[in-house]
Amino acid sequence: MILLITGSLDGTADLLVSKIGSSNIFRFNYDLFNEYHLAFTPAYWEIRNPTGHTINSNTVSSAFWWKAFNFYIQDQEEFLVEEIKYIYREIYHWCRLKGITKGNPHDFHNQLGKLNILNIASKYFQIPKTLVTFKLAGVDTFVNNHVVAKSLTSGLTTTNKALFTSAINLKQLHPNYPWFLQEQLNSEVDITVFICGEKYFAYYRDRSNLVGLDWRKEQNFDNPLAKEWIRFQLTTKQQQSISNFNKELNVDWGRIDFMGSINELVFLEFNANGQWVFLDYSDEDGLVTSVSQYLLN
Amino acid sequence: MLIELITPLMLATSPMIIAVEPAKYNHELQISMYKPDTVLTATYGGTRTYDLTGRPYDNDND
Repeated sequence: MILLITGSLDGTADLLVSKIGSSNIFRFNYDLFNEYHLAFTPAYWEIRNPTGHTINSNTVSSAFWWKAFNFYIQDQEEFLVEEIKYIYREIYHWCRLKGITKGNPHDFHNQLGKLNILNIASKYFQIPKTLVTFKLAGVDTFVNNHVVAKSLTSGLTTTNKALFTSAINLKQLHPNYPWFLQEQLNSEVDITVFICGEKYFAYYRDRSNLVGLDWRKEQNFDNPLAKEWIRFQLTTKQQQSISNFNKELNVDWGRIDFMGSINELVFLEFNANGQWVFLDYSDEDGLVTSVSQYLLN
Repeated sequence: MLIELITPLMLATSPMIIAVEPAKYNHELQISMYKPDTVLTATYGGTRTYDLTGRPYDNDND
Protein backbone atom coordinates (compact mmCIF):
# COMPACT_ATOMS: atom_id res chain seq x y z
CA MET A 1 0.00 0.00 0.00
CA ILE A 2 1.21 3.49 -0.88
CA LEU A 3 1.66 5.97 1.97
CA LEU A 4 0.83 9.45 0.70
CA ILE A 5 1.99 12.15 3.11
CA THR A 6 0.20 15.33 2.15
CA GLY A 7 -2.48 17.83 3.17
CA SER A 8 -6.23 17.37 3.08
CA LEU A 9 -6.80 20.27 0.65
CA ASP A 10 -4.40 19.17 -2.04
CA GLY A 11 -6.03 18.64 -5.43
CA THR A 12 -3.12 16.67 -6.84
CA ALA A 13 -3.44 14.20 -3.96
CA ASP A 14 -7.19 13.95 -4.64
CA LEU A 15 -6.44 13.10 -8.24
CA LEU A 16 -3.87 10.44 -7.34
CA VAL A 17 -6.16 8.79 -4.79
CA SER A 18 -8.99 8.71 -7.32
CA LYS A 19 -6.73 7.21 -9.98
CA ILE A 20 -4.97 4.65 -7.78
CA GLY A 21 -8.05 3.67 -5.77
CA SER A 22 -8.61 4.45 -2.12
CA SER A 23 -7.98 0.88 -0.98
CA ASN A 24 -4.45 0.87 -2.46
CA ILE A 25 -3.29 4.07 -0.84
CA PHE A 26 -3.27 5.57 2.63
CA ARG A 27 -3.51 9.35 2.72
CA PHE A 28 -1.86 10.76 5.85
CA ASN A 29 -2.86 14.43 5.98
CA TYR A 30 -0.59 16.58 8.10
CA ASP A 31 -3.26 19.22 8.73
CA LEU A 32 -5.67 16.56 10.04
CA PHE A 33 -3.14 14.84 12.29
CA ASN A 34 -5.53 14.56 15.21
CA GLU A 35 -8.03 12.52 13.20
CA TYR A 36 -5.61 9.57 12.90
CA HIS A 37 -4.57 6.91 15.39
CA LEU A 38 -0.80 6.50 15.27
CA ALA A 39 1.45 4.06 17.11
CA PHE A 40 5.14 4.40 16.30
CA THR A 41 7.85 2.39 18.05
CA PRO A 42 11.45 1.80 16.98
CA ALA A 43 10.38 -1.56 15.55
CA TYR A 44 6.90 -0.95 14.17
CA TRP A 45 4.36 1.72 13.23
CA GLU A 46 0.70 1.76 12.40
CA ILE A 47 -1.65 4.53 11.30
CA ARG A 48 -5.43 4.22 11.17
CA ASN A 49 -7.93 6.74 9.83
CA PRO A 50 -11.43 7.24 11.29
CA THR A 51 -12.99 4.71 8.90
CA GLY A 52 -10.60 1.96 10.03
CA HIS A 53 -8.43 2.11 6.89
CA THR A 54 -4.96 1.15 8.14
CA ILE A 55 -1.36 1.12 7.00
CA ASN A 56 1.60 -0.17 8.95
CA SER A 57 5.31 -0.81 8.60
CA ASN A 58 4.59 -4.27 7.17
CA THR A 59 1.99 -3.25 4.59
CA VAL A 60 3.61 -0.06 3.27
CA SER A 61 5.07 -0.63 -0.21
CA SER A 62 6.07 2.93 -1.10
CA ALA A 63 5.88 6.41 0.36
CA PHE A 64 5.41 9.71 -1.40
CA TRP A 65 5.74 13.12 0.23
CA TRP A 66 3.55 15.70 -1.48
CA LYS A 67 3.40 19.25 -0.11
CA ALA A 68 2.43 18.14 3.40
CA PHE A 69 4.00 21.11 5.16
CA ASN A 70 2.48 23.56 2.69
CA PHE A 71 -0.67 23.11 4.71
CA TYR A 72 -1.22 24.44 8.17
CA ILE A 73 -2.32 23.11 11.51
CA GLN A 74 -4.85 25.52 12.93
CA ASP A 75 -4.81 26.89 16.45
CA GLN A 76 -2.00 24.80 17.85
CA GLU A 77 0.87 25.81 20.06
CA GLU A 78 4.03 26.18 17.96
CA PHE A 79 5.80 23.63 20.16
CA LEU A 80 3.14 21.04 19.29
CA VAL A 81 3.32 21.90 15.61
CA GLU A 82 7.05 21.17 15.67
CA GLU A 83 6.48 17.89 17.53
CA ILE A 84 3.89 16.84 14.94
CA LYS A 85 6.15 17.81 12.05
CA TYR A 86 8.90 15.72 13.59
CA ILE A 87 6.64 12.65 13.60
CA TYR A 88 5.63 13.10 9.94
CA ARG A 89 9.27 13.54 8.94
CA GLU A 90 10.32 10.48 10.89
CA ILE A 91 7.67 8.24 9.34
CA TYR A 92 8.91 9.44 5.94
CA HIS A 93 12.54 8.78 6.91
CA TRP A 94 11.60 5.29 8.14
CA CYS A 95 10.42 4.63 4.58
CA ARG A 96 13.49 6.30 3.11
CA LEU A 97 15.78 4.03 5.12
CA LYS A 98 13.86 1.05 3.73
CA GLY A 99 14.44 2.40 0.22
CA ILE A 100 10.75 2.67 -0.59
CA THR A 101 10.31 6.43 -0.98
CA LYS A 102 9.28 7.84 -4.36
CA GLY A 103 9.89 11.35 -5.62
CA ASN A 104 12.19 13.65 -3.66
CA PRO A 105 12.38 14.65 0.01
CA HIS A 106 10.50 17.85 0.80
CA ASP A 107 13.74 19.56 1.82
CA PHE A 108 15.70 18.52 -1.28
CA HIS A 109 16.83 22.06 -2.05
CA ASN A 110 18.17 22.57 1.46
CA GLN A 111 20.73 19.87 0.69
CA LEU A 112 21.85 21.17 -2.69
CA GLY A 113 20.64 24.60 -3.84
CA LYS A 114 20.17 26.44 -7.11
CA LEU A 115 23.81 27.39 -7.74
CA ASN A 116 25.11 23.87 -7.20
CA ILE A 117 22.38 22.51 -9.45
CA LEU A 118 23.24 25.08 -12.13
CA ASN A 119 26.86 24.00 -11.90
CA ILE A 120 25.86 20.39 -12.57
CA ALA A 121 23.45 21.45 -15.31
CA SER A 122 26.20 23.38 -17.10
CA LYS A 123 27.80 20.06 -18.07
CA TYR A 124 24.74 19.12 -20.10
CA PHE A 125 22.99 22.36 -21.09
CA GLN A 126 23.60 26.02 -21.69
CA ILE A 127 22.93 27.99 -18.53
CA PRO A 128 22.37 31.74 -18.08
CA LYS A 129 24.93 33.92 -16.31
CA THR A 130 23.96 33.74 -12.66
CA LEU A 131 25.19 35.50 -9.55
CA VAL A 132 24.35 35.49 -5.87
CA THR A 133 25.89 38.49 -4.20
CA PHE A 134 26.40 40.39 -1.00
CA LYS A 135 27.49 44.02 -1.41
CA LEU A 136 26.96 43.60 -5.18
CA ALA A 137 30.29 41.79 -5.50
CA GLY A 138 30.68 40.38 -9.00
CA VAL A 139 27.92 42.33 -10.72
CA ASP A 140 30.41 43.47 -13.35
CA THR A 141 29.82 40.11 -14.99
CA PHE A 142 26.52 41.48 -16.30
CA VAL A 143 28.02 44.56 -17.92
CA ASN A 144 26.44 43.89 -21.31
CA ASN A 145 23.33 42.07 -20.20
CA HIS A 146 19.79 42.84 -19.21
CA VAL A 147 19.38 41.36 -15.76
CA VAL A 148 16.54 39.91 -13.68
CA ALA A 149 16.27 39.51 -9.91
CA LYS A 150 14.85 36.26 -8.61
CA SER A 151 14.24 34.58 -5.29
CA LEU A 152 16.35 31.69 -4.07
CA THR A 153 13.87 30.38 -1.55
CA SER A 154 10.72 31.93 -2.98
CA GLY A 155 9.56 32.38 0.56
CA LEU A 156 6.90 34.94 1.31
CA THR A 157 7.52 38.27 2.99
CA THR A 158 5.87 39.04 6.32
CA THR A 159 3.11 40.71 4.32
CA ASN A 160 2.67 37.54 2.21
CA LYS A 161 4.26 38.92 -0.93
CA ALA A 162 6.43 36.94 -3.32
CA LEU A 163 9.42 38.00 -5.41
CA PHE A 164 8.58 37.06 -8.97
CA THR A 165 11.24 37.25 -11.65
CA SER A 166 11.70 41.00 -12.12
CA ALA A 167 13.76 43.03 -14.56
CA ILE A 168 16.10 45.37 -12.71
CA ASN A 169 18.61 48.11 -13.35
CA LEU A 170 21.94 47.11 -11.78
CA LYS A 171 22.65 50.70 -10.79
CA GLN A 172 19.53 50.72 -8.60
CA LEU A 173 20.32 47.66 -6.47
CA HIS A 174 20.74 48.37 -2.80
CA PRO A 175 24.13 46.95 -1.77
CA ASN A 176 23.01 45.98 1.73
CA TYR A 177 20.68 43.22 0.57
CA PRO A 178 21.37 39.73 -0.78
CA TRP A 179 20.61 39.47 -4.49
CA PHE A 180 20.05 36.50 -6.78
CA LEU A 181 20.64 37.84 -10.28
CA GLN A 182 20.45 36.23 -13.65
CA GLU A 183 21.01 37.31 -17.22
CA GLN A 184 17.63 38.02 -18.84
CA LEU A 185 17.01 35.61 -21.67
CA ASN A 186 15.03 36.52 -24.72
CA SER A 187 13.01 33.48 -25.47
CA GLU A 188 9.94 32.76 -27.56
CA VAL A 189 8.83 29.96 -25.29
CA ASP A 190 8.95 28.66 -21.75
CA ILE A 191 9.82 24.99 -21.67
CA THR A 192 9.37 22.49 -18.91
CA VAL A 193 10.15 18.80 -18.73
CA PHE A 194 8.39 16.66 -16.16
CA ILE A 195 10.44 13.67 -15.03
CA CYS A 196 8.51 10.64 -13.80
CA GLY A 197 10.75 7.62 -13.39
CA GLU A 198 12.14 6.78 -16.83
CA LYS A 199 9.56 8.93 -18.62
CA TYR A 200 10.09 12.54 -19.67
CA PHE A 201 7.14 14.74 -20.61
CA ALA A 202 8.25 17.89 -22.43
CA TYR A 203 6.02 20.96 -22.90
CA TYR A 204 6.39 24.50 -24.18
CA ARG A 205 4.34 27.61 -23.65
CA ASP A 206 4.26 30.56 -26.04
CA ARG A 207 5.73 33.73 -24.50
CA SER A 208 4.77 36.08 -27.33
CA ASN A 209 1.66 37.33 -25.53
CA LEU A 210 3.29 37.77 -22.13
CA VAL A 211 3.21 41.30 -20.79
CA GLY A 212 5.78 40.62 -18.04
CA LEU A 213 8.56 38.11 -17.61
CA ASP A 214 6.98 35.37 -15.54
CA TRP A 215 4.34 33.11 -17.09
CA ARG A 216 3.05 32.20 -13.64
CA LYS A 217 1.59 35.68 -13.27
CA GLU A 218 -0.29 35.54 -16.57
CA GLN A 219 -2.22 32.32 -16.52
CA ASN A 220 -5.84 31.91 -17.44
CA PHE A 221 -7.26 31.37 -13.96
CA ASP A 222 -10.80 31.86 -15.28
CA ASN A 223 -10.53 28.55 -17.04
CA PRO A 224 -8.28 26.14 -15.14
CA LEU A 225 -8.70 23.53 -17.85
CA ALA A 226 -7.43 25.76 -20.68
CA LYS A 227 -4.53 24.01 -22.43
CA GLU A 228 -1.70 26.52 -22.22
CA TRP A 229 1.16 24.05 -22.48
CA ILE A 230 1.83 22.13 -25.71
CA ARG A 231 3.63 18.82 -25.61
CA PHE A 232 6.64 18.25 -27.86
CA GLN A 233 9.08 15.43 -28.45
CA LEU A 234 12.60 15.75 -27.08
CA THR A 235 15.45 14.80 -29.38
CA THR A 236 17.54 11.77 -28.50
CA LYS A 237 20.40 14.10 -27.54
CA GLN A 238 18.16 16.17 -25.27
CA GLN A 239 16.82 13.02 -23.61
CA GLN A 240 20.38 11.84 -23.02
CA SER A 241 21.38 15.17 -21.50
CA ILE A 242 18.39 15.09 -19.15
CA SER A 243 19.13 11.50 -18.25
CA ASN A 244 22.77 12.31 -17.44
CA PHE A 245 21.74 15.33 -15.40
CA ASN A 246 19.24 13.20 -13.44
CA LYS A 247 21.86 10.54 -12.77
CA GLU A 248 24.31 13.09 -11.42
CA LEU A 249 21.60 14.58 -9.22
CA ASN A 250 20.41 11.09 -8.29
CA VAL A 251 16.77 11.86 -9.06
CA ASP A 252 14.04 10.24 -11.08
CA TRP A 253 11.35 12.79 -10.29
CA GLY A 254 10.87 16.52 -10.67
CA ARG A 255 10.52 19.20 -13.29
CA ILE A 256 13.23 21.02 -15.20
CA ASP A 257 12.47 24.51 -16.48
CA PHE A 258 14.20 25.73 -19.61
CA MET A 259 14.05 28.71 -21.94
CA GLY A 260 15.54 29.15 -25.39
CA SER A 261 13.77 27.06 -28.00
CA ILE A 262 12.64 23.48 -28.31
CA ASN A 263 15.77 22.91 -30.39
CA GLU A 264 18.15 24.66 -28.03
CA LEU A 265 17.39 24.26 -24.34
CA VAL A 266 18.80 26.76 -21.85
CA PHE A 267 18.55 25.38 -18.32
CA LEU A 268 16.87 27.59 -15.75
CA GLU A 269 16.16 25.44 -12.72
CA PHE A 270 15.25 22.06 -11.33
CA ASN A 271 12.09 21.83 -9.24
CA ALA A 272 12.50 18.77 -7.04
CA ASN A 273 8.86 18.73 -6.03
CA GLY A 274 7.37 20.66 -8.90
CA GLN A 275 3.69 20.77 -9.69
CA TRP A 276 2.78 18.80 -12.80
CA VAL A 277 -1.00 18.35 -13.05
CA PHE A 278 -1.37 21.76 -14.74
CA LEU A 279 0.49 20.39 -17.75
CA ASP A 280 -2.15 17.76 -18.45
CA TYR A 281 -5.31 18.21 -16.39
CA SER A 282 -7.34 15.74 -18.37
CA ASP A 283 -4.62 13.04 -18.50
CA GLU A 284 -4.61 13.28 -22.32
CA ASP A 285 -0.87 12.75 -22.29
CA GLY A 286 -1.02 10.20 -19.49
CA LEU A 287 0.70 12.19 -16.74
CA VAL A 288 -1.66 11.13 -13.97
CA THR A 289 -1.58 7.56 -15.20
CA SER A 290 2.23 7.56 -15.36
CA VAL A 291 2.57 9.03 -11.87
CA SER A 292 0.14 6.43 -10.52
CA GLN A 293 2.19 3.65 -12.10
CA TYR A 294 5.40 5.20 -10.80
CA LEU A 295 4.03 5.18 -7.25
CA LEU A 296 2.65 1.67 -7.54
CA ASN A 297 5.83 0.10 -8.94
CA MET B 1 21.04 63.05 -9.81
CA LEU B 2 20.38 60.61 -6.98
CA ILE B 3 19.14 57.19 -8.01
CA GLU B 4 16.56 55.60 -5.75
CA LEU B 5 17.88 52.24 -4.59
CA ILE B 6 15.67 49.18 -4.66
CA THR B 7 15.62 46.14 -2.38
CA PRO B 8 14.28 42.61 -2.95
CA LEU B 9 11.40 43.45 -0.61
CA MET B 10 10.41 46.38 -2.79
CA LEU B 11 10.17 44.10 -5.82
CA ALA B 12 7.88 41.60 -4.07
CA THR B 13 4.23 41.64 -5.08
CA SER B 14 1.13 39.93 -3.78
CA PRO B 15 0.21 36.56 -5.22
CA MET B 16 -3.37 36.10 -6.37
CA ILE B 17 -5.50 35.09 -3.41
CA ILE B 18 -9.02 33.77 -3.53
CA ALA B 19 -10.49 32.85 -0.18
CA VAL B 20 -12.77 29.82 -0.27
CA GLU B 21 -14.69 27.82 2.27
CA PRO B 22 -12.55 24.95 3.53
CA ALA B 23 -13.62 21.71 1.92
CA LYS B 24 -14.88 18.79 3.97
CA TYR B 25 -12.43 15.92 3.85
CA ASN B 26 -13.92 12.47 3.30
CA HIS B 27 -11.90 9.76 5.02
CA GLU B 28 -13.78 6.99 3.23
CA LEU B 29 -12.84 8.28 -0.23
CA GLN B 30 -9.67 10.00 1.07
CA ILE B 31 -10.40 13.10 -0.98
CA SER B 32 -11.67 16.59 -0.22
CA MET B 33 -15.23 17.36 -1.18
CA TYR B 34 -15.00 20.80 -2.77
CA LYS B 35 -17.95 22.76 -3.92
CA PRO B 36 -17.65 22.85 -7.74
CA ASP B 37 -17.05 26.58 -7.99
CA THR B 38 -14.34 26.80 -5.35
CA VAL B 39 -11.45 24.88 -6.84
CA LEU B 40 -9.11 27.83 -7.30
CA THR B 41 -6.52 29.17 -4.91
CA ALA B 42 -7.29 28.67 -1.25
CA THR B 43 -5.94 30.74 1.60
CA TYR B 44 -7.24 28.48 4.32
CA GLY B 45 -4.60 28.61 7.01
CA GLY B 46 -2.24 30.84 5.09
CA THR B 47 -1.13 31.96 1.64
CA ARG B 48 -0.22 29.36 -0.93
CA THR B 49 1.04 30.32 -4.31
CA TYR B 50 -0.48 27.48 -6.26
CA ASP B 51 -4.08 26.51 -6.72
CA LEU B 52 -5.89 23.41 -5.63
CA THR B 53 -5.56 21.84 -9.04
CA GLY B 54 -1.80 22.13 -8.87
CA ARG B 55 -1.32 25.20 -11.04
CA PRO B 56 1.71 27.10 -9.77
CA TYR B 57 1.54 30.82 -9.32
CA ASP B 58 5.04 31.27 -8.01
CA ASN B 59 8.13 29.15 -8.35
CA ASP B 60 8.31 28.29 -4.66
CA ASN B 61 6.09 25.28 -4.97
CA ASP B 62 5.89 24.75 -8.67
